[in-house]
Amino acid sequence: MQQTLPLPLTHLVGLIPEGARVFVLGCGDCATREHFGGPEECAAAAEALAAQGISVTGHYAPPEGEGICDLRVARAAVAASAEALEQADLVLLLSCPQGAPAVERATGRTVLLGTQVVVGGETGGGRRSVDECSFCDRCIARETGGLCPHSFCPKNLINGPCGGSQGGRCEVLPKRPCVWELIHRRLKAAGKLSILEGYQEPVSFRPPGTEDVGGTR
Amino acid sequence: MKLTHIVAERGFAITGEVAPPKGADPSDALAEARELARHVDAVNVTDGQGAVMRMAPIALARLMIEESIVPIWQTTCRDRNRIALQADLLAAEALGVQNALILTGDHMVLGDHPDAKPVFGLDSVQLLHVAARMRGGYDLAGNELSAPLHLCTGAVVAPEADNVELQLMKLRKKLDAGAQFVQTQAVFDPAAFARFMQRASLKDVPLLAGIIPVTSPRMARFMNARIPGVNVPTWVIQRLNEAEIGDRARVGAEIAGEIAAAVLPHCQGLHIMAQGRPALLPTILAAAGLEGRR
Repeated sequence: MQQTLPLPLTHLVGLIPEGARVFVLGCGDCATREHFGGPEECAAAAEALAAQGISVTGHYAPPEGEGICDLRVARAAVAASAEALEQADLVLLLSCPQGAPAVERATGRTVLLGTQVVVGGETGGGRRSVDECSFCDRCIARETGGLCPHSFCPKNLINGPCGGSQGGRCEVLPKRPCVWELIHRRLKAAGKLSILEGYQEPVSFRPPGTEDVGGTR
Repeated sequence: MKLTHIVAERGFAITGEVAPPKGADPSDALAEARELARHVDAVNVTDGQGAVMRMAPIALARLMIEESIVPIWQTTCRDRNRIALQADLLAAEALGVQNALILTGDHMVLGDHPDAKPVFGLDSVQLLHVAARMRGGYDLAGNELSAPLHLCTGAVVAPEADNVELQLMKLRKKLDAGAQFVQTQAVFDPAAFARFMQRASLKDVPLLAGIIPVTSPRMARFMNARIPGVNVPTWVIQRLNEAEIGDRARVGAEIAGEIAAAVLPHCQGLHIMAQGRPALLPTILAAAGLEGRR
């Protein structure tokens, strides 16, 4: 699991484009156990967003123990809320960042991550995929349309692409699209390209739990 | 001499490029740098270009300085973490280097050590930020340096890459990060380049357009297939095809010079990548109308 916290409501509201219809989705794994994305939190978030004038088409959290990062769980969630999801423009996801890729694949919708990782670590169930989460000290995917450039780009580029993609394909993994192409397309469609202009500070590689260790000798 | 000073003095600059050797003897690479230096203001020394293991560029840069050749020391984020990258910036300055070109670097799977551990702990934008911070007297962690850095740091951009919009976005970040000059990947379309320059809004940061002489149709096809961000157009390939085989190098150099002449009014100089053929430079410069202007 990861120690993950929900984002403040004001921050969430700021992430949602004007007029977009939102479906709130949770996770049955640590998000339910740690109360940042279980059924109650999803219902509460849906209610709070609606109170802010945002159109919420519905909310859902998978049964306890079922992590949304598992594509089968994400697909089951889609089946369970097909109608409400159909009406939504984007999915507000209350899970750790690992859930985003599966939810994107299952829903075909833009995913906005409504949480932030405080400390990274292994998730339950052994479903961890290095490809889909680098366990950074902070989550960049929230600013890049739910797609993590740090994990998907073989050079971990978080400030923009290299010059190497050919026909929209990654030069290192030619079977895969360049993640920056996908991010660009997604944010352009959402009218949010300016998000990309901000400078991204270097990611911290400090092992969790070493905050009190060391210092300059 | 800093590249920015050269441009300030004369309005433009011309640079060349040499790759350090795959071996412990620098004499051939140094001879190539010497020949290039007869025609250009400064010579780039590449850092494991194409992710191929070669001599560290700092050695060749220092040897060039000893012969009064101005190096542009290239440094990539591929192989070293933030401690080593900062240490090398300090080392380069101590050895007399005044210009550093900062790149992310080609991925190792494209080179001759595909099993190497990819580092990429900083990217080019971040390393430019760090260098600017070191010029202000502090390292990335916020510790004070006993003497600040003075290196003039440059950035790269690929104007003919797949997604120009994203290239421009990243270039803006590099300028904000304190890049003091810009070099481009090879340019083949002067009209597109002019549009690119209009959108780039570089203000007073000089940009040197990348020029590669393509000396055979085979080389053109190879570049199109394998060199990222490079598009050799069909008219170039056609002219090379029409030329006698023995005359193709000269024709390729002339084409490069024609492109150079067309792009030069839109920028502050040329970065000529002669791919190990320094003898092509006089032809390129003559075709660009730059013969004897140095």
